[in-house]
Order: sequence, then C-alpha cells, then structure tokens
Amino acid sequence: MKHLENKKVGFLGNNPVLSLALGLTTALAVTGSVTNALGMGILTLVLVILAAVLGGLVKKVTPNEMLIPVNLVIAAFLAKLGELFVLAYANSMATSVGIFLPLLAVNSLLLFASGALTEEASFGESFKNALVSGVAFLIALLVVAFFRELLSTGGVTLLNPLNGGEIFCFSLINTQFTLSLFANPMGALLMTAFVGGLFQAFGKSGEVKGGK
Amino acid sequence: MKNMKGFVVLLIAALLTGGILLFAEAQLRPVIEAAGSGEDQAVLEKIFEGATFKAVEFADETGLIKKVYEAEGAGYAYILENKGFADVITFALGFDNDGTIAGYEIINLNDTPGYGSQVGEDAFIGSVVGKTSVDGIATISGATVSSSAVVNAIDAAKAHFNETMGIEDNGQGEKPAPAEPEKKGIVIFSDSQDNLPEVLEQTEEGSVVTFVLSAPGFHAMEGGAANKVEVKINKDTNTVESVVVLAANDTPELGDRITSESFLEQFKGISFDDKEASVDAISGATVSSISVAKAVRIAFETLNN
Repeated sequence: MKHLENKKVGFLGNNPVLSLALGLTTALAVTGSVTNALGMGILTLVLVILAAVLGGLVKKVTPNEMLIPVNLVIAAFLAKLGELFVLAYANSMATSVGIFLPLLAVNSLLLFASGALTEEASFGESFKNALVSGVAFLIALLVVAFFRELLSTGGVTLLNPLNGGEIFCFSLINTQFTLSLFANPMGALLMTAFVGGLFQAFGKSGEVKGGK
Repeated sequence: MKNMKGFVVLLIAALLTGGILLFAEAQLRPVIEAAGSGEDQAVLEKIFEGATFKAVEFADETGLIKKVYEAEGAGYAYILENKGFADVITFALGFDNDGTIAGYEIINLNDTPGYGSQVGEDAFIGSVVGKTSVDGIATISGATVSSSAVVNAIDAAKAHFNETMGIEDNGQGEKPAPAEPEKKGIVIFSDSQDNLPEVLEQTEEGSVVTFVLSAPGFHAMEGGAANKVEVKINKDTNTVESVVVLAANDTPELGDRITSESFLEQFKGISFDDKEASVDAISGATVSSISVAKAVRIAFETLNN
C-alpha cells in the first residue's frame, strides 16, 4: 500500500496558511490590522507549542489509534484556555476578533497536526514541526495584515494588545488614495493570494527540499 | 485490553483538562467581567455621572440589547446594537428611575455622512433624550434605515425597562412627532446646487425633446454609480411628457423603488412655469427620489437656457 507523503511545512514554500490553506478563515478575518494579526499569531504560536509538548507527553501512554482523539481534547483544552486568558487580559483584541478567538481551536489543531501528529515522529521532530508551523503562521498573518492595513488605511498602527497603548505608527499613503477594498473580506482573499504567490515564488527551493 | 487503555487515557485526558478549565474559568471570570465592562464604563459615565454600574442578566428576544447595566440609585443603562445602512450602529441608552431617557450616546456609527449620520447629531439626540419609556420616537426622513434601526433598538430597551420597572405602556404616551411625515413633497425647482445631474444625451423629435441624464443618488454619494433618468419634455408647452428611470443604482428594495410607476407618474404634466410644482418622495428612498426630481429640473433648465 502506498502511503501518502506527509508534506512538511515551511516558512516560505509550503507556508501553512498561504500555500496549504490551513486556518484560512481566521487568517482572513484577523489580518485587517497588524495589531490583531500579531496578537492572534503569537497566541496561536504559543498554543501550538504547548499542544506539541502536551501531545508528546501523552504519546508515551496513548495507543496509536487513540492519538487523534486525545490530541483533539488537548487542542480544544488549550484553545479554550487561551480564549479565557485573552478575554481576561487582552479584552480589546477579544472584542475586535470576536468569534475567531474560539475558532483558534481548529487552527491550532490543524497547524499542530500538519507537522506533529504522526505516529512515527519523535518528540523532537514533532516539536520542531509545531514550532515551524506556528512561526510560519505568524509570519504569514503579519505580512498579509501589514499590506492590508497599509493599503486600506494608508498607514500601519501597532497597538499593544494587552492595554491598547500605541507602540508605533506611521502613515505613508494619503487617505485619498487608500483602497477600502482591502479592509473587507474580498480584499483579504486577494491579498492572501497575492502574498501566497510571492512566498511561493521566493520559497521555490524550500518546496523541493521539503516536499519530498 | 489495548483498546481499554486507549479509552482510559482519553477519559483521563478529558476529565483532567475539563477540571483545569473549570478552575481557570472560576479564577478568571471576575477579571473577564471587569475587562468587559471597562470599555462600556466611559460611555455609561457620560449618561450617569459618578454612578456604579452592575451588569444585569436579561432575556431579550429581539437580539438588539447587548448589555444591561443597573446604575445603582440612578437607573438603567442599555448597550444596544442594530444593523444600520452601512454598518451596525451601537449606542448606549440610559433611563433614570422614573422612566425618562437620561442619555443617548453613540458608540459606533459608520452610516452615510449627512444622511444616516444624523442619528448621531444633536437634533436627533434632542428628540430622544427627555422622552419617557412610553413615548414614541420619530424616525428621520432621508435617513429612514439608520433611524429606524436606532428607534427599533430603543423600543427593545423601552420594553425591557418597562417590564423591569412594572411600567405599563398603555399607548397613552406621546406619539412620534408628526413633524416628519412619511411622504414629503420635493419641490422640483429648488435652488440646491449639490449633486446636480448631468445631461448625457439630448435628442429632438418633433416638439418632444428627450434628455438622458445621470443623476447622482444615494449610491453615487457613497462612491458608486449614479442613476440614469430619461426625461421627455414637450418644448411647445414646456411640460413633462414622461420620466423613465433607465438605471436605478441605489439600494435594492429601497432606493431602486424610484422605478415604480406611481412615483414617476407624478412628474407627468409638470410645467416649467409652475415654480411651486412638487412630487411626493418615496418613504425610505428620499435621496433617490430627489435625484430624479433634480434630473427633471436640469432637463428643464437645459432646454430653457
């Protein structure tokens, strides 16, 4: 029987969001502003790493056929925990991303599963894969959000997700020439596809190495 | 036996994570509630200065009430939300203990400047604040969608407040002021210089001159396409033969009702000499109706100058 090749994730080529289209819903929704993208990206990264660590721990005692349900419980648990923390300590971000905060459960699970959830992968390998997908997710969100915010508002404002204080902001494009298209879902899809194309073009070599 | 082991692990994982979550939730709940009401606090302070606010559990089948706060000793405050024209409109409304509306504060409003935005202006605020929980509130003509959204949400809050306080709405309250009737006459020969239509084509056939004009309606103000209107004028009698809307680009179901025959029929026979001539606007589509009236005026002016 021929096994399906487990595609490895990467930063540029095989980026989990831009090339494998994992967690795309959230990616589209939270990339309206760099602040949200950064907050959600970091949150996802932390959750994916935690999922890999916990998943690695329980793997020792879990029979292979129960690996998926147990990891599912862990991912759901972590996502809920993350949601509670964000609601408590970064309320402004929770309000602006709304329903996509609980949807992180799906994201972190997908990202985690994309690299780490294989029977034969060692703990170190799962951990490394989870880290790569988490960071790649964060990078993708940031790049898409940067261009969307720049084109739709003319500048980029980064706020501290914890207290809403301004970290830095700049304005580049006169408001007369901004494209409100990029603030709405249609623009989000276009920008994601565009950035995805760019990443794939730059990451050509990475794909060859990682794909086989 | 191997299967059993799997289920045991799954069971333990579920119980353990569930337990941790319950604990975390119990610990974080007060922090979350404090953070959640923190953002409303600033707005509520504007309505009831110096009061302490306590979130109240509520049931609301309209879905328009987002949050209810009891301002201790002062009254009740509501955070309301309803779909406006371009975006949801969010606002706070406060009733003092005897049922008078003590304050109305907009939190989020992105409707068309000059039209929907009127629900955040002093004239409308003045028509809300000071009313009681049994009074009706009038909508704004020309901003029907936005103001109806606000008025419906206020009605939901009134219903909840009356129920809480045991006030009976026996229909004796003040009715919405009839100052803004449903149908408002539009004077054709106005002096307005805003959003004037442009003549695209002018053809003559016998004594009938046909104009095709692009008339900026509601959609054009938002940056979209204008309406296209054909006006036929008899140049001998200087009266309108017919008006046809070739393309209605305004809001579906509202602005696009300017294509209706009963509306266009009104223009027939209007004479350039009758400077007082007016037509009834379509309620809910005032701006679009005005665009057609302006097209007729510009057609007349082009013909007679």
